[in-house]
Amino acid sequence: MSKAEALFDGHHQPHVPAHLGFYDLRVPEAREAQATLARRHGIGGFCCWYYWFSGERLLERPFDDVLASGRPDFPFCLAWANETW
Amino acid sequence: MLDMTPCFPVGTTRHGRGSGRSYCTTRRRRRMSAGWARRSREPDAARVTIGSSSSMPGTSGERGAISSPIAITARPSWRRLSGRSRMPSALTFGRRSQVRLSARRPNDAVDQTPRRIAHAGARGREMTRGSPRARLLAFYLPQFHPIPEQRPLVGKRLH
Repeated sequence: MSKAEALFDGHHQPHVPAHLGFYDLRVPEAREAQATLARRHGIGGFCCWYYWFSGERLLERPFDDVLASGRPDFPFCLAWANETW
Repeated sequence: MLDMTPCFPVGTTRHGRGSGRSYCTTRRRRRMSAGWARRSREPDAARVTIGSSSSMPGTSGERGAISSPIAITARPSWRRLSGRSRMPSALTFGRRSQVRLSARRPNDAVDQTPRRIAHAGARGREMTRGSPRARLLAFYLPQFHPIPEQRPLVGKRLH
Protein backbone atom coordinates (compact mmCIF):
# COMPACT_ATOMS: atom_id res chain seq x y z
CA MET A 1 0.00 0.00 0.00
CA SER A 2 2.66 2.50 1.00
CA LYS A 3 4.70 1.54 -2.06
CA ALA A 4 2.08 2.87 -4.43
CA GLU A 5 3.16 5.70 -6.70
CA ALA A 6 1.26 8.66 -8.06
CA LEU A 7 0.69 8.01 -11.76
CA PHE A 8 -0.68 11.35 -12.83
CA ASP A 9 -0.95 14.89 -11.60
CA GLY A 10 -3.38 15.06 -8.72
CA HIS A 11 -3.29 11.29 -8.12
CA HIS A 12 -3.31 11.00 -4.34
CA GLN A 13 -0.96 8.06 -3.80
CA PRO A 14 0.32 6.47 -1.69
CA HIS A 15 -2.35 6.62 0.96
CA VAL A 16 -0.58 6.35 4.26
CA PRO A 17 -2.20 6.54 7.69
CA ALA A 18 -2.21 10.06 9.08
CA HIS A 19 -2.50 10.62 12.80
CA LEU A 20 -2.14 7.19 14.31
CA GLY A 21 0.29 5.58 11.88
CA PHE A 22 0.16 1.88 11.08
CA TYR A 23 -1.59 0.60 14.16
CA ASP A 24 -2.63 -2.79 15.41
CA LEU A 25 -5.85 -2.99 17.40
CA ARG A 26 -4.40 -5.68 19.65
CA VAL A 27 -2.28 -2.92 21.18
CA PRO A 28 -4.07 -1.11 24.03
CA GLU A 29 -2.25 2.15 23.30
CA ALA A 30 -3.61 2.15 19.76
CA ARG A 31 -7.18 1.80 21.00
CA GLU A 32 -6.59 4.52 23.56
CA ALA A 33 -5.19 6.83 20.88
CA GLN A 34 -8.27 6.26 18.72
CA ALA A 35 -10.58 7.24 21.53
CA THR A 36 -8.53 10.31 22.38
CA LEU A 37 -8.57 11.43 18.76
CA ALA A 38 -12.30 10.81 18.44
CA ARG A 39 -13.11 12.62 21.65
CA ARG A 40 -11.05 15.59 20.60
CA HIS A 41 -13.07 15.89 17.43
CA GLY A 42 -16.48 15.69 19.00
CA ILE A 43 -17.30 12.03 18.35
CA GLY A 44 -19.76 10.80 20.97
CA GLY A 45 -18.96 7.11 20.73
CA PHE A 46 -17.88 4.17 18.62
CA CYS A 47 -20.30 1.90 16.82
CA CYS A 48 -18.30 -1.29 16.62
CA TRP A 49 -19.03 -3.87 13.95
CA TYR A 50 -19.92 -7.19 15.52
CA TYR A 51 -19.21 -10.14 13.25
CA TRP A 52 -21.36 -13.04 14.34
CA PHE A 53 -22.04 -15.66 11.70
CA SER A 54 -24.14 -18.65 12.73
CA GLY A 55 -22.67 -18.83 16.19
CA GLU A 56 -19.13 -18.00 15.17
CA ARG A 57 -17.54 -14.69 15.97
CA LEU A 58 -14.80 -13.08 13.93
CA LEU A 59 -12.52 -10.12 14.58
CA GLU A 60 -13.77 -10.09 18.15
CA ARG A 61 -10.51 -9.45 19.89
CA PRO A 62 -10.34 -5.62 19.98
CA PHE A 63 -13.83 -5.29 21.39
CA ASP A 64 -13.37 -8.12 23.88
CA ASP A 65 -10.14 -6.53 25.09
CA VAL A 66 -11.84 -3.17 25.51
CA LEU A 67 -14.65 -4.79 27.47
CA ALA A 68 -12.29 -6.78 29.68
CA SER A 69 -9.95 -3.90 30.47
CA GLY A 70 -12.51 -1.11 30.58
CA ARG A 71 -10.09 0.97 28.51
CA PRO A 72 -10.49 3.20 26.63
CA ASP A 73 -13.26 4.68 28.71
CA PHE A 74 -15.35 5.75 25.72
CA PRO A 75 -19.03 5.15 24.88
CA PHE A 76 -19.74 2.34 22.42
CA CYS A 77 -22.47 0.31 20.85
CA LEU A 78 -22.43 -2.74 18.61
CA ALA A 79 -23.64 -3.12 15.05
CA TRP A 80 -24.26 -6.71 14.06
CA ALA A 81 -23.02 -7.30 10.55
CA ASN A 82 -26.08 -9.31 9.63
CA GLU A 83 -24.71 -10.88 6.49
CA THR A 84 -22.48 -13.66 5.32
CA TRP A 85 -18.76 -13.24 5.22
CA MET B 1 -3.79 27.46 -5.19
CA LEU B 2 -6.22 28.76 -2.62
CA ASP B 3 -4.03 31.73 -1.93
CA MET B 4 -4.26 32.84 -5.53
CA THR B 5 -8.01 33.23 -5.47
CA PRO B 6 -8.80 36.92 -5.59
CA CYS B 7 -11.53 38.23 -3.33
CA PHE B 8 -12.39 40.95 -5.79
CA PRO B 9 -12.96 40.93 -9.54
CA VAL B 10 -9.96 39.76 -11.50
CA GLY B 11 -7.93 42.60 -12.96
CA THR B 12 -8.78 45.07 -10.23
CA THR B 13 -7.65 45.63 -6.71
CA ARG B 14 -10.07 46.17 -3.91
CA HIS B 15 -9.10 49.82 -4.20
CA GLY B 16 -10.33 49.85 -7.74
CA ARG B 17 -8.72 50.52 -11.06
CA GLY B 18 -6.31 53.40 -11.20
CA SER B 19 -6.00 53.57 -7.43
CA GLY B 20 -2.24 53.51 -7.71
CA ARG B 21 -1.98 50.35 -5.67
CA SER B 22 -0.96 47.27 -7.52
CA TYR B 23 -2.59 43.93 -7.18
CA CYS B 24 0.56 42.58 -5.56
CA THR B 25 0.66 45.29 -2.93
CA THR B 26 -2.88 44.54 -2.02
CA ARG B 27 -2.12 40.89 -1.69
CA ARG B 28 0.92 41.58 0.46
CA ARG B 29 -1.04 43.84 2.78
CA ARG B 30 -3.70 41.23 3.02
CA ARG B 31 -1.19 38.54 3.90
CA MET B 32 0.28 40.71 6.61
CA SER B 33 -3.04 41.04 8.31
CA ALA B 34 -3.30 38.07 10.68
CA GLY B 35 -7.04 37.82 10.46
CA TRP B 36 -7.00 37.66 6.73
CA ALA B 37 -4.20 35.18 6.61
CA ARG B 38 -6.12 32.87 8.89
CA ARG B 39 -9.28 33.29 6.89
CA SER B 40 -7.67 32.61 3.58
CA ARG B 41 -6.19 29.34 4.77
CA GLU B 42 -9.02 27.93 6.79
CA PRO B 43 -12.41 27.07 5.40
CA ASP B 44 -15.23 29.03 6.89
CA ALA B 45 -16.49 27.30 9.99
CA ALA B 46 -20.07 28.26 9.28
CA ARG B 47 -19.92 26.98 5.76
CA VAL B 48 -18.33 23.71 6.78
CA THR B 49 -21.24 22.94 9.06
CA ILE B 50 -23.95 23.31 6.47
CA GLY B 51 -23.78 19.76 5.23
CA SER B 52 -23.17 17.98 8.49
CA SER B 53 -25.68 19.73 10.67
CA SER B 54 -28.61 19.40 8.33
CA SER B 55 -27.93 15.71 7.85
CA MET B 56 -27.48 15.09 11.55
CA PRO B 57 -30.46 13.19 12.92
CA GLY B 58 -32.55 15.10 15.38
CA THR B 59 -31.55 18.52 14.20
CA SER B 60 -33.12 18.89 10.79
CA GLY B 61 -36.70 18.14 11.72
CA GLU B 62 -37.24 20.58 14.56
CA ARG B 63 -35.11 23.25 12.98
CA GLY B 64 -37.79 23.99 10.43
CA ALA B 65 -37.72 24.90 6.80
CA ILE B 66 -35.26 27.75 7.07
CA SER B 67 -32.92 25.62 9.06
CA SER B 68 -29.79 27.68 9.16
CA PRO B 69 -26.58 26.00 10.24
CA ILE B 70 -25.71 29.19 12.04
CA ALA B 71 -28.42 28.54 14.56
CA ILE B 72 -26.56 25.67 16.16
CA THR B 73 -23.08 26.84 15.39
CA ALA B 74 -20.88 28.93 17.60
CA ARG B 75 -19.51 32.12 16.14
CA PRO B 76 -16.57 31.36 13.90
CA SER B 77 -13.55 31.19 16.11
CA TRP B 78 -11.30 33.32 13.94
CA ARG B 79 -13.37 36.29 14.98
CA ARG B 80 -12.85 35.59 18.66
CA LEU B 81 -9.19 34.81 18.16
CA SER B 82 -8.31 37.89 16.20
CA GLY B 83 -10.44 40.05 18.47
CA ARG B 84 -11.33 42.32 15.60
CA SER B 85 -12.22 42.07 12.01
CA ARG B 86 -10.27 44.56 10.05
CA MET B 87 -11.95 44.17 6.77
CA PRO B 88 -15.57 43.20 7.03
CA SER B 89 -16.67 41.68 3.79
CA ALA B 90 -19.95 40.83 2.23
CA LEU B 91 -19.51 37.36 3.63
CA THR B 92 -19.22 38.64 7.16
CA PHE B 93 -22.31 40.75 6.90
CA GLY B 94 -24.16 37.89 5.30
CA ARG B 95 -23.32 35.69 8.24
CA ARG B 96 -24.47 38.28 10.75
CA SER B 97 -27.76 38.71 9.05
CA GLN B 98 -28.28 34.97 9.04
CA VAL B 99 -27.73 34.87 12.75
CA ARG B 100 -30.37 37.50 13.25
CA LEU B 101 -32.70 35.66 10.95
CA SER B 102 -32.39 32.45 12.93
CA ALA B 103 -32.91 34.21 16.24
CA ARG B 104 -36.26 35.49 15.03
CA ARG B 105 -37.58 32.03 14.35
CA PRO B 106 -40.39 31.06 16.73
CA ASN B 107 -38.77 27.69 17.46
CA ASP B 108 -36.06 29.37 19.45
CA ALA B 109 -38.50 30.72 21.96
CA VAL B 110 -39.75 27.23 22.79
CA ASP B 111 -36.55 25.31 22.48
CA GLN B 112 -34.40 25.92 25.54
CA THR B 113 -32.17 22.90 25.01
CA PRO B 114 -28.54 23.85 25.23
CA ARG B 115 -26.97 24.00 21.84
CA ARG B 116 -24.36 21.45 21.12
CA ILE B 117 -22.43 20.91 18.03
CA ALA B 118 -20.43 17.76 17.70
CA HIS B 119 -19.00 17.76 14.23
CA ALA B 120 -15.56 16.82 13.14
CA GLY B 121 -14.54 20.33 12.20
CA ALA B 122 -14.98 21.84 15.63
CA ARG B 123 -11.49 23.26 15.62
CA GLY B 124 -10.05 20.60 17.85
CA ARG B 125 -12.26 21.18 20.83
CA GLU B 126 -15.77 20.25 21.68
CA MET B 127 -18.28 23.05 21.53
CA THR B 128 -20.37 21.56 24.26
CA ARG B 129 -22.80 23.04 26.69
CA GLY B 130 -25.17 20.83 28.66
CA SER B 131 -26.42 17.48 27.44
CA PRO B 132 -26.40 16.57 23.78
CA ARG B 133 -29.46 16.58 21.53
CA ALA B 134 -27.73 14.21 19.20
CA ARG B 135 -24.60 12.16 19.45
CA LEU B 136 -22.24 11.57 16.62
CA LEU B 137 -21.04 7.96 16.40
CA ALA B 138 -18.14 6.70 14.37
CA PHE B 139 -18.20 3.21 12.89
CA TYR B 140 -15.45 1.21 14.47
CA LEU B 141 -13.86 -1.37 12.24
CA PRO B 142 -12.06 -4.10 14.16
CA GLN B 143 -10.30 -5.29 11.01
CA PHE B 144 -7.01 -3.64 11.84
CA HIS B 145 -5.33 -6.63 13.37
CA PRO B 146 -4.32 -10.00 11.98
CA ILE B 147 -6.49 -13.06 12.61
CA PRO B 148 -5.83 -16.71 11.74
CA GLU B 149 -8.62 -16.74 9.14
CA GLN B 150 -6.67 -14.29 7.02
CA ARG B 151 -3.50 -16.32 6.72
CA PRO B 152 -4.34 -18.30 3.59
CA LEU B 153 -5.27 -15.05 1.87
CA VAL B 154 -2.50 -12.67 2.77
CA GLY B 155 0.25 -14.91 4.02
CA LYS B 156 2.32 -13.78 6.95
CA ARG B 157 2.95 -10.26 5.85
CA LEU B 158 0.86 -8.88 8.64
CA HIS B 159 2.66 -10.81 11.34
